[in-house]
Amino acid sequence: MRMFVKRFGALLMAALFSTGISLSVPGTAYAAACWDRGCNGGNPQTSGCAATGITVLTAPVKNPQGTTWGYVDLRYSNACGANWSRTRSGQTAYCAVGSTIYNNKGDTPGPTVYQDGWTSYSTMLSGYSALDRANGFITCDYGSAVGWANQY
Amino acid sequence: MVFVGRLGCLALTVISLSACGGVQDQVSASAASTQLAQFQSRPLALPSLAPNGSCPVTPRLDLPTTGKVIHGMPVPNYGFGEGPVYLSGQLEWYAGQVSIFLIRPAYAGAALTRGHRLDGSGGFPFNSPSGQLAIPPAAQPSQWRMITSSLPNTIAPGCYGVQIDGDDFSEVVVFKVLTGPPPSG
Repeated sequence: MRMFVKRFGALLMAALFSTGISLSVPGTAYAAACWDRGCNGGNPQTSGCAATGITVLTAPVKNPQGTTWGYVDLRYSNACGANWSRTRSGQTAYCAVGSTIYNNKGDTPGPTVYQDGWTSYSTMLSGYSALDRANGFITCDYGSAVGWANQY
Repeated sequence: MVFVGRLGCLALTVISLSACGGVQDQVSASAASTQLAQFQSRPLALPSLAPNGSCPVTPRLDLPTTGKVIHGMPVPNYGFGEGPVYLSGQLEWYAGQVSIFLIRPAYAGAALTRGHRLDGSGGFPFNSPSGQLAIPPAAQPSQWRMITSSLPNTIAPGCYGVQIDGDDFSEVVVFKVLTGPPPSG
């Protein structure tokens, strides 16, 4: 009887705290296309990592006069353990929008892999074992702007 | 029967590493049950919207978490809500996206999240068969906590509200789920 109560207590706890909760255990919820440094240089969108992406930090992309032209996001996938940079332009004009991702492990920075004139994102760089920072820039006929979302 | 018991404990390791430990755990389970029942008994105080009324989206707050990492996962430096529990993970919300509940170090207790769509018919906006999301007490005090969840792939665009109840607080977070797939990247 005592054993039954003990096990019932355990199951009760499971019932109370199970539904809807996913603990922050990397790589368990999705079949990742790559992991951490193995994602270096990969495309976050086509690899599927972006499907589990979160925005960690966001920062304004400003011109030299301090006007905000857009935002740069540091993105991270818990399933892939990798970061990338995403830039969003608020300009109405078509501009060159670029994103680059760096980390504190000295890995080769990840350059822009996609841009459509208003948004862009970079390739991925290890994030599980590193701290990263995202760079974004917007270059138009009439000037340019830059921003950083720094984790370190 | 022994197998079933072991299976129960095995399943539990995902949730709580100590819950199969003994008498103390029975007490903890009972306390947790009572606590969640207390949270559930509180009435929902979500805003009601007129048809075609604007969605009173909860403003974003900056949080002092830049550079913090939990189990290798970077902690977002922003959240929606008054705290100590914040909705985070996305700046704008689309179906299927990962969401995060961030909990300040000062609060080590459990919490319960409930809610529904405010401008139409629609249930709890996060993946959960029970229609609510229980946040367990902190395993280690004085640290930021992060609970990941996600919006259902089938969630309808609209205005949603959740109420988060804890030991000494009750907060409401309102957010809008936008139409279409999330932006690439």
